[in-house]
Amino acid sequence: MLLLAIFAGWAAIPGFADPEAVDAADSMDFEQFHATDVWTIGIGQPKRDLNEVEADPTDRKSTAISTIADSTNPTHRSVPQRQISNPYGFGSGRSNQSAAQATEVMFRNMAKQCPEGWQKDREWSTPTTDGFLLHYEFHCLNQPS
Amino acid sequence: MLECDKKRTAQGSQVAPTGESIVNPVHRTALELRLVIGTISVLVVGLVVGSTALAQDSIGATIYGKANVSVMNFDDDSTSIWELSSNASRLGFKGATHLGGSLEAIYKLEFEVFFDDGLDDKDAGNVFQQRNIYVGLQGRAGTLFLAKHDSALKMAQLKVDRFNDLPAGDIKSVLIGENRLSNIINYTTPRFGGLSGTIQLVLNEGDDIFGDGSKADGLTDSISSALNWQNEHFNLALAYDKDVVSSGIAGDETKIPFNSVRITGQAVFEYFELGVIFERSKDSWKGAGHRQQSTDGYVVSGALKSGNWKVYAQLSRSDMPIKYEMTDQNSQAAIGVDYNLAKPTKLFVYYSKLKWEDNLTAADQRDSVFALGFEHKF
Repeated sequence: MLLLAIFAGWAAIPGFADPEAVDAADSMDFEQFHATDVWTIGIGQPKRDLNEVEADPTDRKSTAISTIADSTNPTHRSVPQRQISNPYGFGSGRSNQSAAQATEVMFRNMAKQCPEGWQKDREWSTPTTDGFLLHYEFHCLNQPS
Repeated sequence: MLECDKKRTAQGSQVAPTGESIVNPVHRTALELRLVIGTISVLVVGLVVGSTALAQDSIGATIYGKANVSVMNFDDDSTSIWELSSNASRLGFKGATHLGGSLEAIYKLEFEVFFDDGLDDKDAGNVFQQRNIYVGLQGRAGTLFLAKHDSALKMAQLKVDRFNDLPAGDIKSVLIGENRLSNIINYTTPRFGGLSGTIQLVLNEGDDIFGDGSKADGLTDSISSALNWQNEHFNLALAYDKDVVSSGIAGDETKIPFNSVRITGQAVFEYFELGVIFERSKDSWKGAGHRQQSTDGYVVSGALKSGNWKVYAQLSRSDMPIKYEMTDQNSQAAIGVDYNLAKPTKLFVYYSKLKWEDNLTAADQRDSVFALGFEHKF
């Protein structure tokens, strides 16, 4: 009963449902199974502001970093800005997902973080050793200011 | 007798000779009040724990699950009954926390849930039953976790078993090695060019798994391992178990260690799918008077797809000691039809027939199931 209650509390967190995880759960591809997990910052690690984001060029996962709105941002002073990143490439190599696949992962993450909709504010790519890192800066709609 | 969910009668209640409850109504009200207060208290504790986790940082857990329920007619040599069967329905939680660079902490907690009366042979009254559960690390160097989890050999069945988890359909009725192992250390390599490897060290914690009085207390007494290669249309696996305890008959013993090799191939195209498993197993039981034996088995399955419809069939054979120590033949034949209502939701119907034959006495056991079911993934 306590276990059920704890999970009820845990489930009250805005977690996400992922029907495709059911089939992936029984496979040996653990990397794929966790590919759509929304990352959290390790507890104890300081939150980073937009100017200090480091892109890991071999990182296949989206990095979800929530930040307080940058006061220098003229458009979204009072709305929490978010940034996520995902690698993609055009050939073989570790970043072997296409731009379309990387975009889909990004959209899944944004949909999970902002179930009531979002606005993409900025998009850019930075080069990595075997492709590019796609970055989105966005904010959730209907967030209290 | 097939290991099928058996129904239990509801727990009896005390009644007076007149049929009325003999519980004092005042006492019953106090009991109910205490139950309500207790339930609310537990729920509050749970919400506080969950909310505290939220307050620290977003946990971002992903919830997933599957409800698979069927109305089935189960028929063995002596009985024929209609049952509502919850077929390995499950609820799971998974997630990842970024630790720095590409390193993350990962976890999965998966439990079987029951959409029927929640009772089965193993643990009467159980509502949540542990399935795969692990915690570990994932990064550029691969995935490492500590767990109770399906063995690498079991995962190497890929999606060939089209009647997986269904009564009288699952290949565990024919093949050795369909195990969920406790106390394992799992490492899986990153995928290079579609290829990855998995190795699991199974800690037997001093159990006498060989039946000779020795203690299996090392790190490498039992190992399950697999190589897996996949691309868009093909999925191949080669797996090996070393002295992994599995369900199998040796005298009075029902769980003995096996060395097994499994080769799996699967092809998936737009309109059809094919799959095959070959397996050879040899037990390593050293009990008095037992002669170790090498046995073989195979599974062949296929499916035809068109629009929202899928028709599939499966044939399995082996001489593995599933029901009898000296088995002449275990055989399964099954056919099924799915209709997809939506991507995560389908209706299904299937018929499966099982037969186990004893080589020594010529005795046999037969089970068959006809089922209509509904599955929804979330």
